[in-house]
Amino acid sequence: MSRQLGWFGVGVLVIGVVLSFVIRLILPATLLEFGFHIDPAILVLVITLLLSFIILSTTVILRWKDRKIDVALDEQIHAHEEEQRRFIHRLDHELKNPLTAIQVQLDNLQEGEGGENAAIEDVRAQANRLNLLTRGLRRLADLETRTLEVEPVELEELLDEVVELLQAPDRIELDIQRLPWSIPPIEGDRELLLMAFRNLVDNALKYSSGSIQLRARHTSGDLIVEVIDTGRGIPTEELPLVTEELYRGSNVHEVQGSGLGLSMVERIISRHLGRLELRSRSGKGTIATVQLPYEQMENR
Amino acid sequence: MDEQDEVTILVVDDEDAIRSGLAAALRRARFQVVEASNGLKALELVEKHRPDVIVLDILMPEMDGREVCRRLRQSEDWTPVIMLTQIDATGEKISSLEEGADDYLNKPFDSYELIARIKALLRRQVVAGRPVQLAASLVSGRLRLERETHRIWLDGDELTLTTKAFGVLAHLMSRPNMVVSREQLLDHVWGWDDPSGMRTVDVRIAEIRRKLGDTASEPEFIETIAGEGYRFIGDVKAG
Repeated sequence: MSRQLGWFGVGVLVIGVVLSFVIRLILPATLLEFGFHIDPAILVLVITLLLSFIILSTTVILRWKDRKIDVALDEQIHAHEEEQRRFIHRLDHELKNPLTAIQVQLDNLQEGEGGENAAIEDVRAQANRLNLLTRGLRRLADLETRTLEVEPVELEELLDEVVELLQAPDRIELDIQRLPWSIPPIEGDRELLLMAFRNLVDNALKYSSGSIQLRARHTSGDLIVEVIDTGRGIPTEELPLVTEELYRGSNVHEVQGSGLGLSMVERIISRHLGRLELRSRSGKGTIATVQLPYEQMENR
Repeated sequence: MDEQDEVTILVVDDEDAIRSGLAAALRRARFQVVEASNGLKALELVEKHRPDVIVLDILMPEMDGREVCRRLRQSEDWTPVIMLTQIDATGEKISSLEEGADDYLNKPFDSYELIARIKALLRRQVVAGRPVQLAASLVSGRLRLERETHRIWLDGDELTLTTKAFGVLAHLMSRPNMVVSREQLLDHVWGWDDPSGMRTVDVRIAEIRRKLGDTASEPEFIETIAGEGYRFIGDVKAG
């Protein structure tokens, strides 16, 4: 808004100058009578100068205010994120003692029972779930502040490892660019990138029953990795929400998950100055695209 | 009589439910158990019962676990200590070890894991004096490692390792002849236990072996224990 106003002010000034020249050329000897005599070209020039001054100074004030609002918003977002991190640390901390007590006493109960007991196992499974959830939240908060251990990462090797870890080679079609050149190593935190790609491929396997494709390309300075599945998809209105912490899609409730995986992937990718894009059609499948810039990571 | 009947464990935690639960589990495993609910009481009980292993919570009223450990080590008491940490950050674990703890366990844990760690500590050869994990530099034959400066030498030639590989080597060398699982290495060096990290540990072990000219088939320094983890097999002395 302030930018357009600024251009408008400049426009008024230019028009004023041109107009005064035109008037001077068309009416070279005309003077206007206002109780005093004035050259109409000068009059137009003075008026437009005044107008453009008012417009441009308003622009400057508006831009200054915008900047102040931006700074305040940034501070507020930062403070909110910091508060959220502190909350998660406190929550994690406060849950650990009761969880330890539950786990230890369950061991004691089980020993007392002299073996397997379905009820004890159920409680243990729920305690484990809670444990995994708090650990996941904690890890998510740590991802913001953790120092990246940057090294050259061989993508093909990394994606092979993802396939190996998920132990479903028959369902994963790997398609990695080798011609006319192979993908160069990218500067990044190997462990974090492994975690991100494993999460994406794991999601694709979990929410579909057929094969999935894992594609990698090197195009115009970027590394593009796509994970494509033909599963249930994400409802369009939920696409912006699925990367939020603890959000789980409305069509996946019967599948176990923490609702933290995609948030983690997004944070890892953004710490590598990249982007995660999700495209999906309900009932058709999902394409998760990771774009990582080579140059920016090298120059960071 | 079982050998463990002779072993006394001091359990120190201000949470009644954890302390009593752990005590019951340890008694069932045939250890003698004494309990303390704070650091000051713990120091008294160390004097009175001379425990073989101390299981020590960090955050406690009156005197915290780190201070207890510091005081024990200052008075040249090298009773093995397992610290119960609550904070996942790697720094917290490292500082526990720097205070003189022999091992640490992240809450929440199950009692079987604690018993396994206690047994591992008891199996470790007891050497009088300062344990190697507190030494600033470690020497094993032709290998020398300086913990603070992150430098290593083989036959006097300096080698370069990535930060993580150095962390793995330092952790293994600090526990000579003890099997350290991939989970423990991941937890200690990387600070988290994501399952995708298991392979990562192997990658760093391969890096260490490559630099040291060591092999998995005929190891001089690091031995792979199938299904369990890794073990540093050389004798380690404080340098």
